[in-house]
Amino acid sequence: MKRTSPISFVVAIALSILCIFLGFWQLNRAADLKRIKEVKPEAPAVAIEKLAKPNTNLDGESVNRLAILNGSYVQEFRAPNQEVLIGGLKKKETLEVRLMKLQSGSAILVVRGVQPINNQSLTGEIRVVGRLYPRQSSDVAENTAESLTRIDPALVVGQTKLNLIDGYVVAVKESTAMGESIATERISAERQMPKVAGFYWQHITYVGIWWLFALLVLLAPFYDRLRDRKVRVR
Amino acid sequence: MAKDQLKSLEDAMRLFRVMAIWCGVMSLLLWFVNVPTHYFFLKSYHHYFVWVALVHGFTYPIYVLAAFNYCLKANKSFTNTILFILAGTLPIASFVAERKAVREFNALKASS
Repeated sequence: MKRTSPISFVVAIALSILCIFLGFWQLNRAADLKRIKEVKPEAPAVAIEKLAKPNTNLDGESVNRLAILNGSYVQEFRAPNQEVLIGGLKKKETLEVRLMKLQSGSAILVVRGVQPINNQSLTGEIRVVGRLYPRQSSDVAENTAESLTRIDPALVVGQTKLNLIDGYVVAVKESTAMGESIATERISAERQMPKVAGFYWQHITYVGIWWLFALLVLLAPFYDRLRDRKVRVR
Repeated sequence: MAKDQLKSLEDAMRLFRVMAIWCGVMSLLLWFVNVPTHYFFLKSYHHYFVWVALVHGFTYPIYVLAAFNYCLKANKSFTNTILFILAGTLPIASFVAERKAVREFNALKASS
């Protein structure tokens, strides 16, 4: 009987290990999907200064938290072509983004809502409750002087001397220092979830397939011994 | 060729045929209905076809085992076995493999 070469054993074991790892990778994706679907209770809103520091990257733990901002608006921008949820419907809108100078001296971008036809004049102290999001990383609009191609404090660094906080806040409630609520067309501020493609059971099936392949690859060096030599199908 | 060997090969071929046709239909649905509605058009209808990927995923391992079993019994080369196994992932390919298996078996039966 023909002897199996040791190289084929090594190759089979290496491929089998690769298939096992691919199975574990799919298992992790299934676990990620399960974790994303879990409903976590909303943490209470806290002052933005407790969630983020200026000139430093936003901490992953702070993302999606409700923040309280106290300060005044110092600059105004438009963010065109932004995909937003309004009343449960996905739309592309131009958003009104303002730079808020906080009482602590730093500043942060605040998305007030959909850009109104007539700009509201907002002076004096404003209190905002909103959700903190990480800065956007890809451009969605044309680059023009008065608009932001994406909502990213890095784009306004050259236009202000204030120390900027990373990320941006989508306003849920806005009120004056007197406690008077400010109305505008708000956008949905739901928690942003990392996207994992597919479905839980789909990834579980891939786990089964990869591990089955791992087993079959291990059998490959013995293939000649396993097959029925008396039959010859062509 | 012994009668019991022929019977054993016929059983393996029957199981392979069933799984090849099943996988072929599921692959067609996956490639031409599930994937296009996920990425290209009629995206709002995609949720009707989510089951296709799941069913295909759960039944493909059975196809793999059926193909492996058939190829071992038919004394096929290792390369042919790999091709038979991979045929279950492509539309049409598993139908081609199924037709090939039937042709081969009938030729063997006639010659024995």
